[in-house]
Amino acid sequence: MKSRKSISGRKLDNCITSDDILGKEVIDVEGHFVGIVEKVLIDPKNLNFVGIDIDKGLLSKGLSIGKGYIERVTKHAVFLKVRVVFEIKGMTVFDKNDSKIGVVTDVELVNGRNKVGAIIVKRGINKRLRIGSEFIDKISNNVFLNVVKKELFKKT
Amino acid sequence: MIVNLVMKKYHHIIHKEAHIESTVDFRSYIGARVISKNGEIVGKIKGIRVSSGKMSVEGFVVSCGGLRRDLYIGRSYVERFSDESFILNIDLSILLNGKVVVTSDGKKVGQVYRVVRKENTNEIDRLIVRSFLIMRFSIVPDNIKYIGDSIILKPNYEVKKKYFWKEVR
Repeated sequence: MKSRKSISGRKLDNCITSDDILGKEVIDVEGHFVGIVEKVLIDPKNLNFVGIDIDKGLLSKGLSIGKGYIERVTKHAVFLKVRVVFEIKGMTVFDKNDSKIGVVTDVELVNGRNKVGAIIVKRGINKRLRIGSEFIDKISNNVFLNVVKKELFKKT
Repeated sequence: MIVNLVMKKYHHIIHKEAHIESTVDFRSYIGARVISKNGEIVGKIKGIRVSSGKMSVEGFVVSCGGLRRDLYIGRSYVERFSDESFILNIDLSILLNGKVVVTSDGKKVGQVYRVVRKENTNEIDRLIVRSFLIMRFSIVPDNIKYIGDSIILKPNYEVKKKYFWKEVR
């Protein structure tokens, strides 16, 4: 095997290549499989690595994740530091008394970051309710609010 | 709740016990959702079991729906409850069945085939993992880094595989 020549002026042995990232599964901080790395995003001006594009399958929209949310790239997968907030779509929302409010249909982010600004909750056939993040107590497998149903309807 | 609203007046014949207004008809809890510590909906309350000797509530029968076997959960695992929901203070280890097991490098090594618990508690003794074909092996909790949507193993854990014709202990 021929040895590769380099004119980078740096030792590149420890670098990973785009091939090491593309096609790998992306796993979030809670062990959830988010999708597969489809693209590596590079800033055209300063040529810095910016993030990755994730393919979530045929029926889901793609997802871009900034490099700040990537914990590490391993031999088999890319691990994230966070849980992707879009994953809360479809979760059931419960009030402070554990009474069901509805199901999350959309998520509003804060400045395009991985932070929930508000959630849109479907209640019944045509009813939608926007719940601000100040009312969210905990997001785990479902969403739990810090207010009771009556109080929530008054405030929203 | 409905039972409380239409509560009649009763002649109280009590000694040190609570008044009927501060008690609840357990029938109002039937059908309440059971939610694990992490917010996973486990099933619905099907029955409340009372100790025949002490006349105290010992646990709850939970229907998980479909063909899944009902659960009997001891009252010590319930954190709080209302007539709509019972919140547990644990994540049920038996629900790990079918979860994907991943090494710290992100390599999928199989799926949880069986959860072996310490007696009847929620504590995991070991997980029996099955890979794509027929190999099975067991993992003890010490080798698990994180349990969430999948099970992530600690770094440098070498997966010991056993062939299917060997008994997994």
